Amino acid sequence: MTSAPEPTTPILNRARFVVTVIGIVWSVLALRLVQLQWWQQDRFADRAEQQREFAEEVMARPGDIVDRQGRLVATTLTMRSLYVVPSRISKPWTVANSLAEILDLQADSLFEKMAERHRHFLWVKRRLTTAEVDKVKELKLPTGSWGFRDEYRREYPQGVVAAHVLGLRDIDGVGRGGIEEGLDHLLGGAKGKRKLARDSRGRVIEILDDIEEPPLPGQNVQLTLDLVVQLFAERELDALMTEWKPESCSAIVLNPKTCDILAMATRPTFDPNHPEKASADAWKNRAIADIYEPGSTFKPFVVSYGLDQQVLHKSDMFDCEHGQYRMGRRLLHDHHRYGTLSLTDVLVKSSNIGMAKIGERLTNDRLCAAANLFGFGRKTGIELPGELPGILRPLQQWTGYSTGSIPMGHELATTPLQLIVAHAALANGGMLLRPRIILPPNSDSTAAVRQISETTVSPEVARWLVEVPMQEVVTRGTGKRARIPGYNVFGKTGTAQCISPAGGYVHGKYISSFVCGAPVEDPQLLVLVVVNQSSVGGETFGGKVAAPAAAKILKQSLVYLRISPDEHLLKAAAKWKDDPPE
Amino acid sequence: MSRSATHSSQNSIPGLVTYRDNSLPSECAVIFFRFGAALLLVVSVALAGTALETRNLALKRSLSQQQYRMAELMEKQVALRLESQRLGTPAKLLEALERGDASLYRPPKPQRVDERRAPLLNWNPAENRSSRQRPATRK
Repeated sequence: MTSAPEPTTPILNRARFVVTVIGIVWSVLALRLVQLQWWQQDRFADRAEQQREFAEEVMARPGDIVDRQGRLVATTLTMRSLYVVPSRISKPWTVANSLAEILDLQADSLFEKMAERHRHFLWVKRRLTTAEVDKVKELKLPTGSWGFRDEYRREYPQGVVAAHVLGLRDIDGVGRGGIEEGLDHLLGGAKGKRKLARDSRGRVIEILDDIEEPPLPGQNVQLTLDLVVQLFAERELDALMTEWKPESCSAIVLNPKTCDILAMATRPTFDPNHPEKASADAWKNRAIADIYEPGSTFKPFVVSYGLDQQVLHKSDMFDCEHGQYRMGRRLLHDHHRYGTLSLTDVLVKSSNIGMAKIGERLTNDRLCAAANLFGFGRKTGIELPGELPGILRPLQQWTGYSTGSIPMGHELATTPLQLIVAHAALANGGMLLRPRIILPPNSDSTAAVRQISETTVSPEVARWLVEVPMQEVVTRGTGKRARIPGYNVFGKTGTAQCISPAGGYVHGKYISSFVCGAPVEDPQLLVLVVVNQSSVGGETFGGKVAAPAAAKILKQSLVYLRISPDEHLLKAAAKWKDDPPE
Repeated sequence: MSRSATHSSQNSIPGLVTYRDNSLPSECAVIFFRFGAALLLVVSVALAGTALETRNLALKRSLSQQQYRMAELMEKQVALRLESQRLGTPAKLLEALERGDASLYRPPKPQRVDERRAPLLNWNPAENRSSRQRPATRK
């Protein structure tokens, strides 16, 4: 038996070397495998998942807004928006041209954007109509280079009605102005998140089942507004704008018992469905963001406080100096030369001299206390954003002029809302309530509102003021144009000169206002109309410009809200109509 | 024992013990039966799994379709409600009533003193919202 020849040493060495190298390589690979699969497994698994999966925000559907009767004021529709991926479009001009043609866009500008090949996303047009969506589908654009995304569009079926109260939602769904902004946290809901899987090129290949965070739809909000009352107010403001051509005007209707705002309107206005057409001065809600000197509409507060503090008495008489009264260095005038007037007549005739004498009796301390008590100089706390607090200077800055000016409603500034809320306190028996424009759920009672109320004057004083002087303002005073057959109406006119931004007053420019309510026996409604700088009609008194509009709003609202008229008054009015007194 | 062990004769490898199976047909049958049964079991389990998965996918698809239909119907409801509200806005009706175009009897004075109430149409019923509340931990 012959044995195989022994391998030579170099061959053996080479074989050992090769085996050793292979062994080392395999060992390294094995160790690396262990490192990847064991020690660093979690890290790499996470990275792989991150590369494959990504989270996308899911928009929440905003809640609806309805009026107090359930009429829809704002809702949301789902619309499709078209995007393209310029980096994947080989013929940008062809695509741009065909899209521009069906979507009514500028082909050149769309082409310029599409020609930027580095871009991976470009909105072509957002919120397309159904017809536009069908036309885009018919184009059969290259797959992967375009797509639709669902977006929400806010719709306001009532058009311009209550536009300032509502505000609007911009193209990104963010509330701007009004309730849309003030209650965005409720209406907007909460965005959700969902996971999507993508391939190595970043294309979405799957929407994963497990939703990371579902979107929470916005809550519905019910307003205290009644759209019919709102419409009455808006129509009268339109008529005012036509007849008196003022720079602006506003109206508020509220229930004095609960301070629920039934209507809040402003002119000029805008259509929230077409905000691009609005003029620059149309955005301001002048009912809460315009301040002006209240003028004579402030006088009832001074008198009621004086009566409540027993500084004044109902039987007091005031010498009105036949139209001229020197108060320190200042010469005061009345529009008519009144002699001696009762406290009631000072308000009915709106005598400035009478009020200046009341101011002298009350002194600055009490005048300031009265203004503070009725909420002037601070926000009312309504749920709308952008409310101004008005102007009420600290007592230290008051002078001898203030003693004469404040009782006439000068040297302080108020918003229309502040003024009507203060008048509501007189109408409801002395309780200053926080106004509200959001109707609370059924579980909340009006007691919640009462908790944030404060007593201003005694109910007796408030009742007397409404039943006697303020009613007589309408029956025989400056507000005679606000009489309504069948109802006992109370009210107060106001005419103030416009404040110049440079200081002082603007000559010949007036702010006319009128606040009225009915029925006197149990006030259910209060209406305020403020007309800013009428450009026709000379000296535009509140009783001449604002009172008829306020009375029309009040009358229509009383009938609509089924507030019964007084039968005796109706008969008397009918008799007067058939046989007018000479 | 049916098997008998014998040492190999001359041509066999030394030390190798071979077994002679005296009952080959019956043993083979058992083995094949066991193998077949195991295979059948595996195949059955696989088929059952496939059937379940198919059923699962079908249900998922059905659920997805129902959700899609539900979303579409809700969208349609919103659109129709919007249209009906648009057609019946006070701004449109009131003018017609006052012009006398609409034939609605208008009493000379209010006949009822109770407050007007129209039914509320809610997009999200209260019970839906309460069931969709997000867990408290998520903010």
